[in-house]
Amino acid sequence: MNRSMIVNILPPLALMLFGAAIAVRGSAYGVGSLTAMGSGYLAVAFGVLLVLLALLQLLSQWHESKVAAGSENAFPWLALLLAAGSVLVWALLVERIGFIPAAVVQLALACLAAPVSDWRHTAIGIVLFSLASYALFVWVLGLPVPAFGG
Amino acid sequence: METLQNLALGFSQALTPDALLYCFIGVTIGTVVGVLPGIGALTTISLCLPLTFHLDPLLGLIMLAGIFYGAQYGSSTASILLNVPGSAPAAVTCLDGYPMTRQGRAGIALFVTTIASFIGGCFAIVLLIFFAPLLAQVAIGFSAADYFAIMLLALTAASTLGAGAPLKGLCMMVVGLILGLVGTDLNSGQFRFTFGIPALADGISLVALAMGLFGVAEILANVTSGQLPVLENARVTLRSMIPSREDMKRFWGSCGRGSVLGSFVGMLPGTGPTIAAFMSYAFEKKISKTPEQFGNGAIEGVTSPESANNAAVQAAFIPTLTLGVPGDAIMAVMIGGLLVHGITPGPQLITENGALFWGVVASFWVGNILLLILNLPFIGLWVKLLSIPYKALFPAVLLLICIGVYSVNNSAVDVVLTFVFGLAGFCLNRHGYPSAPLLLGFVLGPLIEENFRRAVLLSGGSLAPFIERPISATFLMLTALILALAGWHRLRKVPVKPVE
Repeated sequence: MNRSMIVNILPPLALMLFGAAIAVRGSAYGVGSLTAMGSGYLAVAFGVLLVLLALLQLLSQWHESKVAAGSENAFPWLALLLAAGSVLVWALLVERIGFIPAAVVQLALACLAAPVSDWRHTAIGIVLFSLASYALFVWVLGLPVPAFGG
Repeated sequence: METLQNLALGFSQALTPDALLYCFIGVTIGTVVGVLPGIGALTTISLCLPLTFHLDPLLGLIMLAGIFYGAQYGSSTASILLNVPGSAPAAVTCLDGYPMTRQGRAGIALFVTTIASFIGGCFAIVLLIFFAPLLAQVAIGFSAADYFAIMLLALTAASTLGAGAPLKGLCMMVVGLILGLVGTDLNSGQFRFTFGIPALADGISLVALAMGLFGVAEILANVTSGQLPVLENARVTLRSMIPSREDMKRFWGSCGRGSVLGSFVGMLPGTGPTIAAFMSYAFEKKISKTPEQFGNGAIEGVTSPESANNAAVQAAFIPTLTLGVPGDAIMAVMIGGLLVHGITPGPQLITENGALFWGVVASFWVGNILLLILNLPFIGLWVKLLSIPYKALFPAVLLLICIGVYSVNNSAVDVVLTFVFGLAGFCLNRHGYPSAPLLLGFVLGPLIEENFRRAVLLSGGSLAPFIERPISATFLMLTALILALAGWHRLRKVPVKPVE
């Protein structure tokens, strides 16, 4: 089994696992019967359905001779990590250090995801956009977050 | 006569200063995000959804709808000038729009696109005015079993017809249905899949899910593609937009056919503007006496899909507002917006909230006229907008996404969920798993559960009503037919046209 084959069967496998987990967990809520459905009735049904569909997908992918050739070696992991991570970092910081510092950190991280030609202008842009967002969302629209501090 | 009275009621709502303002804001934002590649109408509508919670429902819906159809107008600009579609439906406009730019006919392409969009939109609004009340009257007699069957058909159609790989679309639909179960079970009061997190007691935030799957995932796809779009030497003047007599002769027929086809396709669940645009392009090429000109700057190749996608966008409101069944992910978000205000779209909407329904319909006329003004004299402004580098744009959009998601419930957990859904959406999209069926499944999941439970309860635990009632039996047969067709396509390896 080659590397791209493994990469291709990972999503249906993950979906199968997800479906199975939902069905198992759902059964704990009480399945009941068709006349008296429990909270877990549809959860189990959907979980099992997902396992079956993902299994079909897995089998069809397995038999497909033409495997999508991804350029996994050249994949820009750092850009992905920085752009996606900036969202997570904002979520973790906004209630701890305040709106403006969280926005500055988020924008700086996201900017690093693409090549930056002029850092001075970028830094000024980051600060200005953070302040403008604060003015719009906190002052004008009343978002309850302090500018600095938790 | 009654229609005229209804329209008068609608215009009395849509022509108030507030409604005009929000319509203008909506169509302007829509045009901006349509022009800029890589943001998209769905992301913007999700971003603006929390703002509408504090508005009158009519004003909120007018603004969100304005963003939707405004984006269709704007998205063709990037297609024509950059060969980069501002949204999925505008992808087909690249085929002949960009060759027209290379021939020095960008101005004409932009002009006919705007007029075709206007005509397509207007045709579908007329259809909406006459057809929606009729459909609503029929739908009043629908039972829970009928609704279940209609929703199942909409989900199946959207998952199999709209996605490149039907099986992958179905998987995503079921994931959406499962995510829709998270929260408190309304029948028993029991928490499901909340894992002790209080923020999940009311379920997963629709905005967090939509922003993650479409906003964050789309940006991640663009950032990691390594090919950020750049505009080179595009200059469009009003004089360069005047078409010749020959251009206009070829314009009318294709525009008319696109409008009719787009309206019909738009009304069907699971289709949407992208399929309408591709179908009308294929049809126009097939009936053309000079099919070899298609792909080399044929004016019909621009006007037909543009009129079709705008007609489809307006026509999509017919099943959404009268049946409460969204045809695509954007309509699902619109329904979410109405539900927040306690308004349930469906056959009762026209009778119980006539002012809202007709106000929205009337606002479509206002919005389309505003778009005509915005897209013709101000075209130079939109061309300039295209010169903003994407690398400067996406960090700001990510911040706006964070703030938008946070502002719904003032919850950082929602932003963390957006991050999770963004990454998951990006990974799944890369492997050809479409996000739209997931969002549709998420929105329709609770409604499907409710109608299924009610139908079974009323029949004393029997599944017979689903096949005994003619309406539900018909829709279930159509669902089975779609599944069989998708299976047949798969076995014969006939590719299904991808949407997202």
